[in-house]
Amino acid sequence: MEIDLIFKIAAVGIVVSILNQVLVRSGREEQATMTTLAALVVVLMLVVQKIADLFQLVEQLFKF
Amino acid sequence: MEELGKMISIALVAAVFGSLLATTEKPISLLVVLFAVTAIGWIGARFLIPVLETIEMLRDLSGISSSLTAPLLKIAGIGILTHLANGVCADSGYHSLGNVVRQTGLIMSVYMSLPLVQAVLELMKKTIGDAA
Repeated sequence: MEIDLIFKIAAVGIVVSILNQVLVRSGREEQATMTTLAALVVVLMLVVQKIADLFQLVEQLFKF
Repeated sequence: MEELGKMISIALVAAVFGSLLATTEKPISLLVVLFAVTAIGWIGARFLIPVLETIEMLRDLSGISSSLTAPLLKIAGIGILTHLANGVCADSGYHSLGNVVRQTGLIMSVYMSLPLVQAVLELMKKTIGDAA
C-alpha cells in the first residue's frame, strides 16, 4: 500500500482549502462549494478503492 | 520492527494533516484519517496471516471440523470491521451511525454463531435422550 497517498490527499486538501478561501473572499461561494465537492469526489475515489481492498483482504482471511 | 515504525509514522502524519485540515476541509481531513486507518489495517493484516495459518494448523491437528471453527473466524472478522467502521463514524461526529454499525455487527455475529448453538442443542438433545 502506497503511504504517499496520505501526502497526496493532504496536498489536495491544502490546495482546495486555499482555493476555497480565495473564491469565498472574491464572492464566488458557489464555485468554492463546487471546488470542494470536486476535490472530495477525487479523494473519495482514491480512498474507496483502498478501503475495498482492505475489506476484501479481511473477507479472504476470515473466509466470509 | 520496521512495520511498527511505519504504523506509528502513518498515524502521526495522518493526525497532523487531519487536524490541519479539520478546521477548513473537514471531509478531506476525515478521508486522510480513513486512509491512514486502511493503511494501518493492511500492516496489521500482514501479521494476521501467519496467526490464522497457525490456528488452521491447530484445527487440523486436533481434528475439529472446519464447520465449527469457521463461525469463530467470521465473528472475529465482523468484530474487526465493525470496530473500524464504528471508530471512523465516531471520529466524524456521527456516533449514532457508529452505534448502528456496532449493533448490526453484533446481530450478524449472533447470526453467524447460530450453527454452533444448534450443534450444542443437538448434542444436548442427544445426551438427554440417551440418558432417558
